[in-house]
Amino acid sequence: MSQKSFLSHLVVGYGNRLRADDGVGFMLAEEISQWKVPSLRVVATHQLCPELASEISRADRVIFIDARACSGEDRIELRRLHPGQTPSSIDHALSPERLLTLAQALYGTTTPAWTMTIPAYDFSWQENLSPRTARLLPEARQSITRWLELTPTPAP
Amino acid sequence: MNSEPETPNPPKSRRTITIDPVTRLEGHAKITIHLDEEEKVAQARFHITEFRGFEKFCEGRPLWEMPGITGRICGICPVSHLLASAKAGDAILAVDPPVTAVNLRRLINLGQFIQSHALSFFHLSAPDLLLGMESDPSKRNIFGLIASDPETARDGIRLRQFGQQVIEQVAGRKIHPAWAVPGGVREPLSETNRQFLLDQLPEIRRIVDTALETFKRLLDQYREEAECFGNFPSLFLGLVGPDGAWEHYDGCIRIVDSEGTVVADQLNPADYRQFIGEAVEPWSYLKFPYFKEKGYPEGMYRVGPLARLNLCNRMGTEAADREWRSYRDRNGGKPVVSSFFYHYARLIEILAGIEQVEQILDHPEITSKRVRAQAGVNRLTGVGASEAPRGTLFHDYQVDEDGLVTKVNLIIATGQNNLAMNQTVLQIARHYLDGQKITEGLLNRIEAGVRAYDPCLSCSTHAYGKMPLKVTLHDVTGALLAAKTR
Repeated sequence: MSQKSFLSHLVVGYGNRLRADDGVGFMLAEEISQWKVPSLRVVATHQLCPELASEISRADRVIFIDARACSGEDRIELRRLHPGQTPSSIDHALSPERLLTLAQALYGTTTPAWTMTIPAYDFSWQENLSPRTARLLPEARQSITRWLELTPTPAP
Repeated sequence: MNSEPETPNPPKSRRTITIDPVTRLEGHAKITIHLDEEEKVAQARFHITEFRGFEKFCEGRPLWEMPGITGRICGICPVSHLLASAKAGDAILAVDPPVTAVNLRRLINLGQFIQSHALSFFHLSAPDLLLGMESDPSKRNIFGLIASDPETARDGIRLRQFGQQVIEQVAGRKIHPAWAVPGGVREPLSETNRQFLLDQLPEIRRIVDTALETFKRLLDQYREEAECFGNFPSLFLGLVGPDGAWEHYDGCIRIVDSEGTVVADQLNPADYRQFIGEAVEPWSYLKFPYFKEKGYPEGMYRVGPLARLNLCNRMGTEAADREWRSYRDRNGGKPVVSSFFYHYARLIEILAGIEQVEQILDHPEITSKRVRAQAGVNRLTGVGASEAPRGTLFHDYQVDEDGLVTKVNLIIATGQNNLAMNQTVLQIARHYLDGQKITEGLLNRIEAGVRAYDPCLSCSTHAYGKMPLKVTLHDVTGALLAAKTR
């Protein structure tokens, strides 16, 4: 990993580690937290909670990593996110779009956001990834690396 | 106690009003109100129809897995189960955890109190309290609060975040930390993490001071609600310290009545079966705990913040003691009886929590590496009791010689408020429902009355599952008169 000066990044990986592939976002985030990238904050969490709105408001960019239920062969998807419609209620678990909406409403920030979803095939009660999802991890790591390196270096 | 105890066979009702589900609660519930021929409220029931079965599927598991398993009963208060389970394990191992381990367990429990109470007050109840019970339902939510009072909304997020950070800095994870174990805890606290938490305390203290002042200013607007939101005599049960101080982790059980008379004191939590009975009703999966000496249902008692502040002789820290005295002065120094004041009690407990977090972090041995006592199975039964944010929690395990669990009994905080919640719904319905008009404000007050207890229904039935969104009104023949969707 290069040692450029990055703007502050936030990586949020989430999912249930006890439900096989559902935990791939959580697991990948834990791995990324060991990369020791400057100005990178990593959150590995079971679910998205309202408090993350505060973290998002302080970041220059944020990416969410989650599993995506698939049945056939499929690819990792990386797409841009935008705040959603204002919901009528808030739970202790939110979608990325609702979190962005909450951050905007609370702190007036519109942090550029992305979501990366990794195909998931097995949601049984276990802590291991299925072979098909596990095979996608190298590509997922590369996607995150590219996302981190796409940030312009701040002017001195 | 209500002179008309719940009966298995409800009186013939002309209409049944159902609120299904109750919103802004953890978990889901249904409320049924039965009217008599004169369209007066005859009975109310708070139905829990979720089932999970933790007590059964834990059988056969190793004792050492139980904190990790039972912590997954709930995503809001996993720490409560973690600690009660670890304490049951301490009893089976027949060990006293090292002082530092006890202090770290206390620290994480206080973090949980702060985050859970913040969630309850700011996210779940503040829309009603600050925007008004009659306000537009489409705006009576966190986003309505943000629009109306953004600083309060931000404060709520920050306060809950701090509570989560205490848990994360101490135990490594905010949700389902597998850190407390029989005999102690897995990891000590680092100096870096200790200082991180200390540095945030001034800001957090400002937030709760502001919240208390805001709430106290609001109280005059809710005199009517305070009169009928669970305003009835009952017993109160919870843990207290040896000198009667407010407790959240250890101590003995005390029970007081609404006059403040101590009915039972210094009861060993391990002997809970001697003084707590559990009844069942055919219309709910939630058990009905009661004080055995008074019988069922007269032995109804309340637990949680309202109860804890009624039981104790003092809070034990300066600012919280001051607020506690002011709170008790509302009823001439006697216990505060209306369940509406659970909200007030929660804020005082947050304040006490913040003060005690600072005291614990300043303990000279808080970063000691001695955090676990090692032992094998030395007893075949063990009970762990601690205070969860919602009330007293009991984990009762039986194991074999190899430490495999053979039997589990859990008495969950919210379940112990079950009878009181039913009584509260009945009281509110009688006050606000005239049998002719079902208003949004009426329905919201019934829900708000239940919400004052901050019930965690997924936890108390050890439950899962969701219920459909529907409010129905039926006549005595079962014909649908009206329907309302939330």
